[in-house]
Amino acid sequence: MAVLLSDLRPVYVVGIGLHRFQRATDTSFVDLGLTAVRAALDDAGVPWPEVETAYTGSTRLGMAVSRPLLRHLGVTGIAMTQVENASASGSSAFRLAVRDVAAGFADVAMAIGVDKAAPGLRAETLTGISPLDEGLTTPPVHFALLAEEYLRSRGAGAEDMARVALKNHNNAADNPFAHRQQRRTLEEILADRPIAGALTRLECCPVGEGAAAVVVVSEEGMRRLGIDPARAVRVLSSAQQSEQLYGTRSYDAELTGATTQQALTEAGVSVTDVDIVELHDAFAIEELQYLETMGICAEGAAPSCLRDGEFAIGGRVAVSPSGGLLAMGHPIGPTGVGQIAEITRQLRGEAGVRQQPDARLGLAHLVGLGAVCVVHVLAAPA
Amino acid sequence: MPTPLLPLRGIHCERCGHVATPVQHFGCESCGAHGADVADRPLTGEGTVLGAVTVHRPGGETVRIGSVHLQEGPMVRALLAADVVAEDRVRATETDAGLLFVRGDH
Repeated sequence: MAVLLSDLRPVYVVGIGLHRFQRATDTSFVDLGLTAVRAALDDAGVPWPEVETAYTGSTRLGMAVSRPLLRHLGVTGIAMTQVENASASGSSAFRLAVRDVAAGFADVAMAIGVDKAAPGLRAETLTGISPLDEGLTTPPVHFALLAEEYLRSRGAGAEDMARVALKNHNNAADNPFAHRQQRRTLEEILADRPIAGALTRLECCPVGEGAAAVVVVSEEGMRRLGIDPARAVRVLSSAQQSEQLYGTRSYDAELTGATTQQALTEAGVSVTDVDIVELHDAFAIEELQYLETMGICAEGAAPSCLRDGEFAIGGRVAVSPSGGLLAMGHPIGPTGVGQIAEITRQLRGEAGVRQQPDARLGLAHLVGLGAVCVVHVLAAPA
Repeated sequence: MPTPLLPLRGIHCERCGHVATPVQHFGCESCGAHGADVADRPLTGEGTVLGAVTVHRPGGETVRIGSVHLQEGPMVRALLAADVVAEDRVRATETDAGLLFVRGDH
């Protein structure tokens, strides 16, 4: 019988750090990464030599990204591993750091995400299989097709989808680490440059650069380093699945539903207890679909719940208070770690004007090409 | 010589009955059968449109792209004729621009 995270040692996030997600610049990935790592160590009050293992999520920096970045903290000889899982790279890096601590392989671990904007090579293009739709179905086209089916089958309109972007852009306007920090109106989003189907540019995520880092520790590590448990956010579960065959149903949504269910079950919580969700809204339609398959709202109810403010900060459940991929941005490697940073900030009650009142339980979700899905459930300090 | 686009071809798994396209010889995604258990077969090229969108390409050109649920089971993404909408029944044709699904009764 395989063990669950809850059978093992409790794991806590005790430090978070970010470099702003932004458009491509000349800044070295080393500067991006060090900014986030040093901020996370400072936040935790943990000196770098105490970190026993590090996982770095990255997709477009080539091989062996960890040491060129981390050696500038002073070399300590610790285990360093690069993690690539497409959009879920940072989420998988976090999962591995959490599992190391839970299993007792380390008391102090770091998960890092760092990336620069650059073309990525996909193994799918090297299989030798020539797809019928070669070069045709780019990610915006894929999601525009899902949007067309979703909106038509539910009698919803383009403005229902645009409200996702409206909420997330306006959340990000208050987030100093967000790529897009401009307040928007519904009219602006709807009238923006059309990309595919009903999707406009402001309903598609920006892919730029940035970095994020978190420190995770065991109770023993927390005691040894004198860390205040009142700011320690517990990781209740970590679930990761890959795509199955779903016929004509949306694989992104089906995979999201199954992985979320596993994460909630293993955390021993109900979906109705969730106060914060950070999800893979690379394209606005995804938020509507995923909130339904996650069970956050009933099938077909996402547009009306969104319109009624249920997913706003201060609503029933705050969805992407960071601004999500749509507006906080999607530098890819850092994205999943950035979600954990936002949820930790929220569950500590330190999110300032973006604070979801009385946030006790948070859920982080990413889908990566392939497709893979990673979901974590985190709980506020007792 | 490029491979002709039509008839569309797919693989039929003799072990579990799964039909998929495009053709590949690596193994059945449904049950893992491979080798002689996975046969290359022609498909009718007929299906129903699940969703269709107009895509704006850089430079201002627009194309129509859709999800087509083929009669034999697989779902493919492909170029559509400009007048095709969701729920239309379509068939595959070959044009200078490649594969194109047009309206057509089966």
